[in-house]
Formats: sequence, structure tokens, C-alpha cells
Amino acid sequence: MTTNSGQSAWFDAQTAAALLAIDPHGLGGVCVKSQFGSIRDAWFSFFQTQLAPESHFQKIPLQIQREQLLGGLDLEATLQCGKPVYSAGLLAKSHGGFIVLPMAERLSADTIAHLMQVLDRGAVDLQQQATDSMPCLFGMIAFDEGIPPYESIHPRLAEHMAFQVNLDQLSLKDCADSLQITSTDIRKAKRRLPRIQCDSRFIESLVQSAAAFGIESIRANLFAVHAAKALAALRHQDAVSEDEVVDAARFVFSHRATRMPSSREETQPNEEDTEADSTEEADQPSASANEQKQNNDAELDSKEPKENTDQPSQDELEELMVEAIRAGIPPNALAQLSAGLGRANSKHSSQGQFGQLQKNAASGRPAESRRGLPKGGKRLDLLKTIRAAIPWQAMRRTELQARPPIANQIRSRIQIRVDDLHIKRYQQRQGVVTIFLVDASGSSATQRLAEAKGAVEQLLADCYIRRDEVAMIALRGRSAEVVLPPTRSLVRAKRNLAALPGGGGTPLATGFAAVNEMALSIRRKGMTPLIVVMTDGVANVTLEGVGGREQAHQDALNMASKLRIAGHAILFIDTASAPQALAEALADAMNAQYLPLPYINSGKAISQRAAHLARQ
Amino acid sequence: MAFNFPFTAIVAQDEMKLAIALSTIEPSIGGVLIFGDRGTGKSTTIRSLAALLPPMKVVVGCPYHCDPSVPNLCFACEARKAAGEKLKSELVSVPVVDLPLGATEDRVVGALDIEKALSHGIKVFEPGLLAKANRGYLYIDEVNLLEDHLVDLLIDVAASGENVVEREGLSIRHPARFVLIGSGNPEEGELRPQMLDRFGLSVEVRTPQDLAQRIEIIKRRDAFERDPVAFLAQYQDSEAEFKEKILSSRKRLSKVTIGDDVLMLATKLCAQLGTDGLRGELTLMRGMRALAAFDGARKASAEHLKRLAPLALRHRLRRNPLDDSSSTTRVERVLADFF
Repeated sequence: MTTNSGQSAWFDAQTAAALLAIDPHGLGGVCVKSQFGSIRDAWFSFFQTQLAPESHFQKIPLQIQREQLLGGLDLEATLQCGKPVYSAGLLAKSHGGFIVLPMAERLSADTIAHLMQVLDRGAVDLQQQATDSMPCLFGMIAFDEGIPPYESIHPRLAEHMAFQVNLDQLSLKDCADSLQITSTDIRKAKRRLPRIQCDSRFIESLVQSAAAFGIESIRANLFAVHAAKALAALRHQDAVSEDEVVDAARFVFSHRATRMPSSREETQPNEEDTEADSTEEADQPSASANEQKQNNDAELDSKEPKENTDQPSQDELEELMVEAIRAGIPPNALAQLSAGLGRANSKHSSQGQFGQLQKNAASGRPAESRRGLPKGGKRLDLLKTIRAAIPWQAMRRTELQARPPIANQIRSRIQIRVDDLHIKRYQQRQGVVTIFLVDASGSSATQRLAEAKGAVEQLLADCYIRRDEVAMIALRGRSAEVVLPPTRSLVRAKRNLAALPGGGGTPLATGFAAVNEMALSIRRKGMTPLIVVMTDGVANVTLEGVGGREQAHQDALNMASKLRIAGHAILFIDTASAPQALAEALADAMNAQYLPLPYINSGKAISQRAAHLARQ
Repeated sequence: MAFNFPFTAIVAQDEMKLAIALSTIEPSIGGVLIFGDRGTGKSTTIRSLAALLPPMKVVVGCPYHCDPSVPNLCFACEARKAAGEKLKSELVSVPVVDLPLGATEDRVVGALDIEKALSHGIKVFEPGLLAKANRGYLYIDEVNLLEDHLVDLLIDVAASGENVVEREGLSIRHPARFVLIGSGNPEEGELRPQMLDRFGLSVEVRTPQDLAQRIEIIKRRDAFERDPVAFLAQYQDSEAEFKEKILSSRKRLSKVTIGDDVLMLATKLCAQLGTDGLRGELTLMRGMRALAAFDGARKASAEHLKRLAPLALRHRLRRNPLDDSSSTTRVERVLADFF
């Protein structure tokens, strides 16, 4: 049987499912990057009905509240019975099974925090205040439907799952066949698993190859060891062999790689490739599983284990692993890694955005109400207030009867006290995200970049106590690249900006499109985008990515008008040595504040202007 | 039940282990902040802490773990005493309490006991996490993502050592003295300066860069997972030894002296670094004492100061966005001038 790349990606996805079914706790989970659809359904039903028909699969709804997740007093049942009734949370019920997280990219930071705590302890409290706890171990299946790079599963959650499979690029034909693994195989493998040993030289190779790909997390290394053992169990072996180590490395490390091994640069794509790739797929850094394996040898596939029966030396083994991991990295991410850019905009695009939700806003996604007085524009949550009051009714009535009646007092049916009052809260990311669009082309690139970097850092330093964030998109060659996703972290900004190179053409239109998209996504999250464009306004790369000044300028104008329609606040900084008509026209088209600042020597001036504009 | 990985089996991460050891010797140092990437063993280290702590004496049945040997007891114990009850004491392990990010205010400070209200129609205070953590540790993972109103609350309680609850006509104050341990990833957000200041020591952790050490970590972890009981037995002696060392350091602590010259040096160091307030100096002083005790020394030396300074001061520096170097480097730079 010959396998094409799509098919082997499908088999990989199925193998990952099988491994998780064998060792759910040791491997944590699998993150399925895929839109809702029949292929995802096929994968899940393979998992659920073929691999683990006896297991419990617990779906965790997106807006789940703490009591439902971790358990607590069941108010309804308690009131009915007249004595406290505790209900176990969904997680406690999932012990020994799997939890399913649909739309995992939208999970709230609170839910993730609760999940992490239970994962971390491997136990859940039985009652609110109990010292008693019960073991709570489960595997996770997270469906990440986010559209990269602006939305993806939270890195904290991703860190706790060994595998990531990408089903979006697979065709139905790829998935026509299925691996012949049954629940009996899984059961047998599970029994074999505790006895399986992993030789220490294999552990060494795994750790070394993880380090070579810049994978720092110890947990990732552990996952690889567990994956190798589960593979060995699945393949009816008593111990881990080279094949399992190589496969495990590919399964666990490929999507975690942050750089390419330094000693092996021969396949580094040239500048041309990098640009072509990122233009095509700038918005899909974690691309197709389909293409993932174009250069993957079939010999590495789990279906067809390597022929070589001689013991390869340690070096050879590491060589094999490096090849396998490299083959598993999506091609455009590979280009990024090879260019030494790290994986900033694919892996961690959402860092710094989570958890800083302001929950006192007057609009936005509803958050759990909290106790408080409905003052200062806050709204009373009547339902929650009544709910809070109900348990105390009997007690309050007794109290009231004991007290002498006050004249004209209204005896209401339900006794509500100030302490019962709950106020509605909404999650909203307040504050401003300043997006810098920096034209890093031409001769003055270095200087302009330095100014922009200065401005970013100054802004961050000025406003880190406020909830403001900063992002940066750079125009390089033919593409616009998100060099700094929205962040509040000075540490991160500095690191990303330090590695930012300049030079190349000026695809202004592409840049405007990218900035518009980012601004809109920021607005969707409830923050206010502020755009700072730094360019001399001379575009020379069209929207299609080809040269040609005339067309490039026309494209830029068109895109600029889209920015105007979207109604963003924009500061246009003309970086040419003398004010340019072209630049002014662009600024006009996008309804920006135009600022000819040919000789900015410090980022301070820009940051002040931006701060001023933000306050308007 | 889940086993915790033994503290003494943790490879490398010496600074983190030292900071935690010092906080167990001298709790008044005021907590440890651990910043670092995911998967660097922060939470493993903290979970291993409980086994290291010598048990403490508490009043039986007291929700706040009152120390029977001190004169002022909590309201609950006082009430029991007044009612003529003879309070018994017992040895329990020191609590290490988790405060999860999504915890409600009720859960943290305590609330009326809904169960008692329903079943008996009486008002009883149900202690929260702050009560549970009294005389022990309060661990907040991802402390930099904690909601503002909880941060405010913790800042207040950590300063006063007391939790005050006014609700439904109940007015309760109970002791809430705990060592705050926070961990987080600085890339995900900054911590408010007021909160930073509440931590006595801070450490920055990263995965050991030495491959041999990483391999050792995975091997030990693998051995632990395969057979936790055997693994724990293997580290029994070193755990007991470490525990003993903490106990003897505590005993030595009150006798450790600090020379005026060293104190002067500490003051100068703080002035040079421009740390705000006196807390830096206080922490240095307490920390030096604990470090000297840990080393078995009777007198804190300039060498102790040098070792402690980065831990005690790096999170107290004013931010300087135009200085690219990390705060650790800045402390070290000034230290280099001094020594």
C-alpha cells in the first residue's frame, strides 16, 4: 500500500488518538486543530467508538461555572431535601475517562486555571471546604477551532497536552482508510504499559533532540518518554526501541520546535522561499498537516517501521530523530524557524492576552456575578441575588419574628439582605492596543526600526500599569509580518524586537490589510485598537506581491480606504526626509492624523503622540 | 492517593530551592515569587515542600490552626476556653493551600456556612482559604493573572496578618499569617508593584541548560512514575536530613548576629540600586540571618549578603525601560562594584 502525505497525516492523527487512549494521564491530551466538520467527526468517532468504547467522555461546555466544573453545594437539591446535598463536578465524574473541550481557544482563563489545578494535583476536592479529596485523572481532547494567528488555544493548556493534530487540510479521501486498531489492542497495550522500560540512552537522545529544537519544557520531554512507551505497548513490545523513540520525538516535538538545530543548516530555505511562503500563508502559520509530510519519508511512519535492524549508534539515532522532527514541522513554520525568527506568531500569539480580562466593564461577554452593591453604574443581577438569599430564608424569618415589629414595615415574601446583592459583571479587555505598522524597507530601515522599537518600549513602560498592550507588524520583502503579537510584557517585546531584521520591498497594501485584520480582531476582544503607521508612503509591492509602483500605490490607497471605513484611530508618521505627497494622500485616505517627522531621534515623541491620540 | 516528588530529588534549580528553604526557616522574610517558563518544575517544587516542613502544634478542632503555646488565641478557641473547655493540642502537617485563579472572594475570605444555615437555621462562619493557610503556605500559581480585587485583598491581609469579615451581622476577625508563594510566567503579564513588594524573595527559573542535568531530571521523573514508593524510599534519608537541617537552622536563627559593617553595606546597596522603601533592607537583614543559620554560621557575613541580594532585591528595582539588562544583571552589576 502506498500512502500519500494526507493519508499518513491522517494515520498519525489516529495513532495519536490510540496513544492517548493507552496512557491518558501520562500524555495529558491531544489538541485537535480543526474546524467543525466530518473529518473531525470521523477522528473523534474513531477515538470514541473504536478505541475507547467503554470510556466516559465528558464534554465541558465553554461557559461552565466553577461549581459545575469542580463540584459544590447543589442548591436546588439542598432546598428540596432540607439538608445539604453536594454534587460532584464534571471533572470528578471524568476520573479515568476523557474530557472534551470544544472551542478550546475560547475557554476562559478561569476555567483553564481550574483545569490546570486539578491536572497539577491529580485530585479534586470532594466538597468546598473538605480536606478530603479524590483522585481525578483524565485525558483531554481539545478542539481548537481558532483561526491563527489571532486566535489559538491558550499555551498553558497546550503545554499540558502531548499531541497536536491538524485535520483542516485533509480531504475525505485521505481519511477513507483507518488504522486497524481496536479496543482490544488498546486494552492489551494498557496492561503491557506498566512493564515497559525505556532505556536511558533513549531518554538521553530524546532530551538532546528536544534541546536541539529549542524545546525548554521538561514536561515535553516527559511526554516524549511516555509516548515512546505507549507506542511500544501498542506494537506488542516489551521495551522501547529506536523506532518508538523516533516516532515519539516526531509526535511530541514537531509542533513545539522553536528553532532549528544549529549544526544542520544545509536545508535552510533562501530568502525567496521564505517570502513566497509567508505571503501565501501569512495567516496560517500552523498549516496543513497535508503538506506537513511532503518531505517525510514513509519509513518514519508508524505503519511501516524502519527496516534497519542493526542497532544504530547514538549519533545516528539522534540524526534520525532530528530528521523526523523536522519532517513534522509545517513548511512555513519551518521557514520561519530557519530564518531564526522563532515561532512567535504561531505558537504564542495569544500570550499576554489572556487572564487580564477586566470584569467590571459595563458591556462585553457576561462573567460570573460577584457580591457587591449596584452603585456607580453597576447593574444588579436579580437572579443571582435571589439565589443567594434563598438558603437563608428560614433563618431570617425566625429572626424577624423574634424581633419587635417596626411600624409600616413591609413584610416581603422573600427576605433580602444587603449581603445578598450581586452585581453583573462583563468581561472586557479594556484599554488600548497600539499596533505599530513599520516599514522596515530600504536604506533607512535600521534607523526607523530602532525608532519604532524605542517607541514600543517606551509605550509599554509608560503604560504597563494600565491595561494597554502593544503589537507590531513589520513590512519586509513582500509580506507583512506580525513581529510582536499584542502583549503587555516588556520582556517579550524586547526579545521579539531585538531579533527583527530590516530591508526588502514595501508592500504597503498588504501591511494595511494585516493591520486592519489585527485591529478588527482586537476590537472583537473588547479593546480599542490604535494604529501607528511609520512609512514614507512609497509603496513598491502590490497586493499580489509583485513589483510595480503605480499599482502598489493604488492598492495601498484602496486598502487605506478600508481602514477609514473600519473607523480606526490612526497616526500616520511620515518618515521620509521631506514630507511626501504620496504619504499625505495615504494618510488622508485612511483618515489618519498625519505627522511628518523626518528626524525622530527618540521613540518618546511617537509614544507621546500615540498616547495623546488614545486619550481622545 | 497521588504522591509528591521529593524535594531533595529535584535536580538543579538551586536558587529556587534556597529561597524556599529560607522561607521555611524564617517565615517573616515574607514569601517567595517564582517567575519562569512553563514546565520548569515550579509547581513540582512547591508541591514537594509540604513533606519537608516539620509538623506544627495546633489546638485540636481549631479551623485556624491556633498555636496553643501563644497567649492570644483566635476567637473560636477563646470562646471554647471561656465555656470551660480544656483545649487539647495535636501535631499536624503544615498546610500548603492552593489559591486557584478563579477562586471567588467568598472562598478566599470565608463566608456564612450555607449548610448550617439550611440544616439548623443558624449563622456560622465558614472559614475560607485564608483561614486554611494560617501558619502555613498560600500558593498562587499564575499570580500575575490574579484578578485585581483578589490582589487587593491579599495585599491587605498579607500586611496585617489578619482577615476581617463583616457579613450578615457576623463580624469576624481571625489570624491569617501565611507565607505567600506565587509563581508565574512574566511573558503573560506583569505583577502590580504593590503585590511584588509583598514577596520577600524572588527567583527566576529556567530549564537547566546543561543537557546532563535535563537527562537526569527525566530519568528521575521516569523512575518516580514507575514506582513512586520505591523512589520515595530511596530519598527518605536525604529528605529526613534536609528536614533536620531546617529544624536546626530555625533553632540557630535567633542567635545569628549581623555586624554593623554588613548592615551598612546592605543599606548602601539598597541606596545604590534605588529600591523603594525600607522593605528591601528588612528582607535583606532577615534573609541574611536565615542564610547564615542555614549555613551553620553564627554571624552573617558580607558573603551572605552577596548571595542573598539578587533574591531579595531584584523585584524591587524601579523599572527602567531604556536599560535593556534584566534586573538580575543590574543587581549583579552593583554588587560587583561593592565586592
